[in-house]
Amino acid sequence: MKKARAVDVGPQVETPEFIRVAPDQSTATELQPAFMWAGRPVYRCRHCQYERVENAAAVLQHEQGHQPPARPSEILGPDGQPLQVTGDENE
Amino acid sequence: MSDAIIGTGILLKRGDGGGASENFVTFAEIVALKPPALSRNEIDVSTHNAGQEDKLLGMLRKGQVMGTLNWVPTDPTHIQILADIEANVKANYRITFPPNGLPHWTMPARVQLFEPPEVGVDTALQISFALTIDGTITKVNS
Repeated sequence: MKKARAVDVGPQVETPEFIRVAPDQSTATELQPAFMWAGRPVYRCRHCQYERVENAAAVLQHEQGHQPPARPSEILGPDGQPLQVTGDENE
Repeated sequence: MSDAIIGTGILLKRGDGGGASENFVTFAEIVALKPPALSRNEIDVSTHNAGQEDKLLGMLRKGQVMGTLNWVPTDPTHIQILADIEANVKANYRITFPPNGLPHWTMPARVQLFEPPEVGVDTALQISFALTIDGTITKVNS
């Protein structure tokens, strides 16, 4: 039976703590009625046809689903600078 | 490759009776929607003389709009559909097709059915509804 030998895996690299930056939500803070229906305000999503009568909160919550995930350029490394993307290692 | 379109996003709207500038609002929480069937009765006019089957088609008939909603009793559109069946109100309804709301079909109709099903301990509160069309379906394609 052979003994297992240690394999050199190279220098240990400390995993940086990534800081995810939330997508810009400055446009999602206010919502004006799209139109009036039977005298009531109707709020509509700014990305699709979703709309609710007298319920801006429901539309704002729905709009959160349209927020894209953070792009690499929006992810900051431990030094506070955007990460440099060098491509997929598996390619 | 197929040009099929996924049905997600078909919507039902109700007008506010504003005439030419009528605004339509979308019913909340639409789970399923069946646009109206269009049909004509087959009228048999076969004769002994011809000795073979002969048929005419009758007048154009419009079936019901049917659907299911997750019932939110406090939602204004759900309050409206309940009020409409109680008062037998004729209003304009519009079906918009995915993905971008066109074409759309607009039709005058009355609420013929508002039916909450049996509610179990672990089920969504829903209603089934049906609209009986009373007039012409106006189709806008683009």
